[in-house]
Amino acid sequence: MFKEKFKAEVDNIKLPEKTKALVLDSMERAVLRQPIKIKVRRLKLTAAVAAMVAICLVAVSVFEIYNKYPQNMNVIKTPSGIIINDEPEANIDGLKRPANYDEVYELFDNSVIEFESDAVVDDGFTEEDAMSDETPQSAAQSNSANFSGGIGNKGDTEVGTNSTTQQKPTTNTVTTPETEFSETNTQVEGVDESDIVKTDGNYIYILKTATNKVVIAKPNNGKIIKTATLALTEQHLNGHYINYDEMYVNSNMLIAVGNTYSANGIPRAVADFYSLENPEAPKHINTLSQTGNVVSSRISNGVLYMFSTQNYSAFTVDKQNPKTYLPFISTKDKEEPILSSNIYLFGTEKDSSQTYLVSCSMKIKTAEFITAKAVMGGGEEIFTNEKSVYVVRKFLNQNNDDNSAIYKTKIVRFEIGKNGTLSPIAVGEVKGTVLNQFSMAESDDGYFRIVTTAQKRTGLKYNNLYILNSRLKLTGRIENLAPDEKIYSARLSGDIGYFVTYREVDPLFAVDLRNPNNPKILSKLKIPGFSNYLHPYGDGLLLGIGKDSNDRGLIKLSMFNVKDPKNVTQKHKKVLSETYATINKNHKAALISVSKNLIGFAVGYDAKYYLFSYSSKGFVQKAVLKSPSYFADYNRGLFIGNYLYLCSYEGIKSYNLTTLKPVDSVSFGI
Amino acid sequence: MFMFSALLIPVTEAPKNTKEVDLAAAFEAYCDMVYRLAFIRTGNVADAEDILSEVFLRLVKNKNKIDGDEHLKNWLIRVTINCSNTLFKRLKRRGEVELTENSGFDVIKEDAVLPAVLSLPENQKIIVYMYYYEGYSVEEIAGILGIPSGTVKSRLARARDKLKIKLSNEF
Repeated sequence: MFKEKFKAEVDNIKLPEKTKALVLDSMERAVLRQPIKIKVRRLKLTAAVAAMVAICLVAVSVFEIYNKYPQNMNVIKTPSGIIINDEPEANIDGLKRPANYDEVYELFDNSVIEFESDAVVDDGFTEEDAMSDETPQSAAQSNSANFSGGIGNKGDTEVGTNSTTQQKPTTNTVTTPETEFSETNTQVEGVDESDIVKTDGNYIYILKTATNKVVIAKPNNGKIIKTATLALTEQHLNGHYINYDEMYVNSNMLIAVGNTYSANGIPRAVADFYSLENPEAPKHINTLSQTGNVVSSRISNGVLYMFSTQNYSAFTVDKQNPKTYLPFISTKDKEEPILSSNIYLFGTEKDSSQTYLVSCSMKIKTAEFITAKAVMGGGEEIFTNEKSVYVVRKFLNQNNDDNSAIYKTKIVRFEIGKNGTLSPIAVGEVKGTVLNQFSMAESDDGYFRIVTTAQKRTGLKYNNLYILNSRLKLTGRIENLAPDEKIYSARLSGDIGYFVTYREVDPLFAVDLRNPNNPKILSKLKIPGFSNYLHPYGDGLLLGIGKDSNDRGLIKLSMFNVKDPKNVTQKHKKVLSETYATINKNHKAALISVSKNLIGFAVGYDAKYYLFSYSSKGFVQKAVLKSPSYFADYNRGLFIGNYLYLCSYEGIKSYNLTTLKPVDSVSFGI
Repeated sequence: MFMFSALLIPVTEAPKNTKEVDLAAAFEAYCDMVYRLAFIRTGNVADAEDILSEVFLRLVKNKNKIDGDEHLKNWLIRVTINCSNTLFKRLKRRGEVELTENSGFDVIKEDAVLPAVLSLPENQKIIVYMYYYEGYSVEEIAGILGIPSGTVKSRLARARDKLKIKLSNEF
């Protein structure tokens, strides 16, 4: 019986003719593109020849660049008119600002370069592609609990943590005279994060990453009308195709964020701006970009802060072509390198590969750059509030005398100026690595808290909490916590911070953060399983969403009583018979409203969306609703007024929040 | 740079391999298989189409290295699994691949078995598909995936157990 049914249902999965034709077409083009393999034997350059060549090149290029891009530090508007405002600021410890592009180029010490023989011309595929075709990989490598969606996925650790302040739990609901609606579940109240589904209370915007379009639908008391489809900008500058991952709807503008990809060119982080004056016909304002791959972005007070990383190698750098060693910014038709005075280099480090953290701010309403800076060193995670941005990245501890941590984390602190300017202020470092953005927070009085998991060279893992001041100097710390465990979630704003470590059981630590010079562990609650995500849930309550055993275990909801941080208890828990939920690794996938007492998230691969509330008797499962996409990662839940809308790129399903009966269902075809 | 270009010494291209795969025929024969396998793994049409596209583009690149129909089928299955492993979604799009209404998933009946299969762990879904739909034997599956046949048997057994629970009346 099963076999017959299965066969019939799979037979139904038919490849549309249109798709067939498109794929065949792209195959034909690929055949035509296949280059003749050329064996290139390159000569070794002698130092003398190379030096002579270099001198000529330097003379020519310095002359050109110098004329084109004056190095005036106080420039308000650049020659091609891109930057509208910038502020000079002091140098910072440990970083040097070059006087001109020459000094930037000198990082790449390439007076003598030896090329490897038999280099094959790049035909657009990477070495990795070639190798993975040959080695048979067992389907066993991945399991359902580790199946990561496309958005915001990090490498090995995928668990997400969320932190809202104890004093002001973010419910992220906006109340207008007409209707209350929910917004993206973000880390810091007032600081927006990008996502695949957005609403402004009037319209629902859904990003179709597969086709670079945004579907705009008008909800009306549960009824849904698809009103428009916005086609985003497909190509940027030199014709590089853009892939959009997430978007913002903020300050009456829609901004789609993504990356250009090109086998031969430098990728760019792109922000495509549209005005929502008429939401049913958004108007394109501009497309801004900066070199590198997107690290992350935030919006605060009408300004978009975008961070990307780009590395350049001594082996591909070409003095004549500034694009091979300078970070660039661009609008839809103009581009130019970031001013040398806005590039921050490490004073003494000189190695063959340099990574820039390109840091820009853009005024949303006019789609114009405010600040464009680059700090050497790259970045992986960011924490942003209204005052600062902290960018962190891990690096290998190459000091062989120090066995305390294989990896350390470098921190760069930027200050946000009153006009949305970004100024690098300080750099610092701590042992270990962070889990994600929730491993960091800045207190109201400007102290930076960070929890890390470190590993000694012997293999022993241990966990730490560090507090640093506004110049990123260490003021307080607790090290060597929970040996052999790893951090799974954290919440560090407010007077009391919480974090969870796990190996077999899950200690939930409560730590007193009031004195930056002396943080103190107040309690340690040990329970089976762990929380991936922590969310304050009203007076004296902390919600945890995680697993009941290991990463493959069942999803578990916990409500902790944190009224007395010295005596934290687990008041209630609920274990579901599901093993996969996007919320375990992406905080934005949750709909949590303390005021409406709603906890919602999508699970698994069969279009289920769970809705809970919490009462003094425990978690109440209000409903399991049908979501528009099979796979949890593509679904988001939001409410406008008394209606719940489950949205994905495939469609929207609406439900009455009181009766939980379905009201309407709309499907987005093409 | 004129100095450098004068030093390039081109070599004539390698002689054509007469055993090259007939790409059009391969596509006709196996596009549905690759698509279905990708759909089973990713659970959605868009990713399945991305993977389909990528698999056959890799076939273009590797057409000289595949010998015979059996090898081709196995190669396609392995590459499809690899592609869905690396979660292809972030790579560049080559041309517009559009979703249509005929995906066949809006009309899932109450007693459908497909959702239950889709909800199995990754390593079991593939084996269920290959065994019950493609009709491969345990030995053949072991050979294609490069895992011991004992592993295939035990995964199949576990999948059957899970499906029994989910589909109570079907097994």
